[in-house]
Amino acid sequence: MRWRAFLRQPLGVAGAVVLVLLGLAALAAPWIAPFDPNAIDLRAMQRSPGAAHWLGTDDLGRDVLARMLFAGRISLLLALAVTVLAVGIGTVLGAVAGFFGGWVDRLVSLATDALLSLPVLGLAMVAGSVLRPNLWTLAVVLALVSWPTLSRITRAQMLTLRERTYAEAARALGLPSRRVLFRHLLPNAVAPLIVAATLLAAQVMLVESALSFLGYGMRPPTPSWGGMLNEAQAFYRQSPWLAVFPGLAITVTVAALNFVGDALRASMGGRGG
Amino acid sequence: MVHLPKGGPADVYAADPSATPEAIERMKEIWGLDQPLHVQYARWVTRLAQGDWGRSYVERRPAIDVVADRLGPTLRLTGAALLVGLSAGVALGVLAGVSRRPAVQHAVRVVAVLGMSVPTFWSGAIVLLVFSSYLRWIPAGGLGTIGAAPTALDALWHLAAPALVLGSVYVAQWMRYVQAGLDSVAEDDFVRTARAKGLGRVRALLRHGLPNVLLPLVTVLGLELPRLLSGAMVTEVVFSWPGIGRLLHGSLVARDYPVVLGTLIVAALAVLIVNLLTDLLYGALDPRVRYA
Repeated sequence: MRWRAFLRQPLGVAGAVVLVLLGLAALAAPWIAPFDPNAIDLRAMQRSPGAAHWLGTDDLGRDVLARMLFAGRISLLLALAVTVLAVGIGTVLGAVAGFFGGWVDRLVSLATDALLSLPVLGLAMVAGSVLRPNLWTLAVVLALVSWPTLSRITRAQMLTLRERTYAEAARALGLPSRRVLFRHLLPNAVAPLIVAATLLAAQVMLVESALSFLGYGMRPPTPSWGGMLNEAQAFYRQSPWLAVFPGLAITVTVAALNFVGDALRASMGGRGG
Repeated sequence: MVHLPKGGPADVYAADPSATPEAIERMKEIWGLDQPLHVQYARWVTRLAQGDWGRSYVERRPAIDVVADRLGPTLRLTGAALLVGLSAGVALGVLAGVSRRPAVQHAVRVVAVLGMSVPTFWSGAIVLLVFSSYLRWIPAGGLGTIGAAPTALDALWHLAAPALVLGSVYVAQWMRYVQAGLDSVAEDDFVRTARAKGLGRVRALLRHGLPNVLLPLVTVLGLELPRLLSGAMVTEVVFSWPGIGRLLHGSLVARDYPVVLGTLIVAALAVLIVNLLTDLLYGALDPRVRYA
């Protein structure tokens, strides 16, 4: 990783700063939220943004800013969890497939191709409707449909890395394959994987919010940004701020992730993802 | 390739209070749900291959017909979105690839990345809110004006907004391919030859470089299609577009599993067919591939 090269990219740095701020806001939500996100106030229904409620209130008089902050916790946590899971599954499967070849490779590649040829969102919708997910099942479902991009990249990396001389040297020393693979080869594939993981996180964020928007995410009252858009659907016309802010939050987060991923890729000399 | 599990049992019927246990048992016999899972699965796959995709629980007609009815609108929407994304992406990519001014390259990149970061269900809703609810410039959704005779102009008028919204997401992808392609092709021998014979840099790139950049896009098309279909699914729901995405949504809500599986199978088949076509097309367009 070349940090200097990354720091020279204003868009990437801006994206990283935005992500850190969003993360801090999500972590601090219980202390900085002006209201209880689920407190219903029937005297203050559908207030437009103003001094008391900065981002207005929804159809039940709940404060939109407070809900956005708490929804951010869910959305960001989900994106993070799914990315970590998907990167874990994808790297291990891809590494094993690329390193050992043979029937393992054929099996993993078949699964990768099959999953890549299906619309991710459709699969997630089916799983979401059958399972009625909570936070962790939703994360697992999304991870299970998002790992193929990572496995493909890792596999391709392994195919070239395993022919390098240091791989040969490690093998000549009599190290077990597992050690050669995970201690000597995989660390050398990390750079492109970081780029791919950042861009995957952006994709995951979009799929999760689409899923929640369609009503296959987590059940109310726990909001995520997509879920807030789903709840507000009937009131877009009377209360447009209900439509604007959660969508803006999603866009800003995804754009920040994309800019960071882009800058990382550029700072690594165009290698990877 | 398609190894989808058989969808859940028709326990939906049990949820109906008027259903007696005997009726449920008979129902299970008729649907074959009393058999072990692998028997059910084998039979499902066999029937699938024979063109029997089961009957829609809701519409009470073959699921394959239900899905086939919705295929046209989805193709129309994805095709139009592809056209939007591709033309804008190639234009921006050429702009970024040809221009040597960092400001232009920067601006193009920012626009493209922002475009792919906007969730379509949100931008779609905002477009509908502003241009349909407030300004009343565009219809609120659907294939055409209900009750009016279908005309091409009316269809286009309904298609424009969802296609623009969906297409905008994919601009960045195409732009990146074109820009990267132009950058690498600029060093190639045939571009250098074209310059040596006196062509300007831009003309050499566009006349001799660009065709070589655009050709591989044909194969990218097949790889991008699953993502495009995912996007179309949400866009269809937002714009009340009667395609397979909205069908999937409706069927899931109604627990109409034969149709749910049918839509997924059709999506997978579409991707397979497009990939096959792009491979053939690529061979036809680029003679070098034929001997590989």
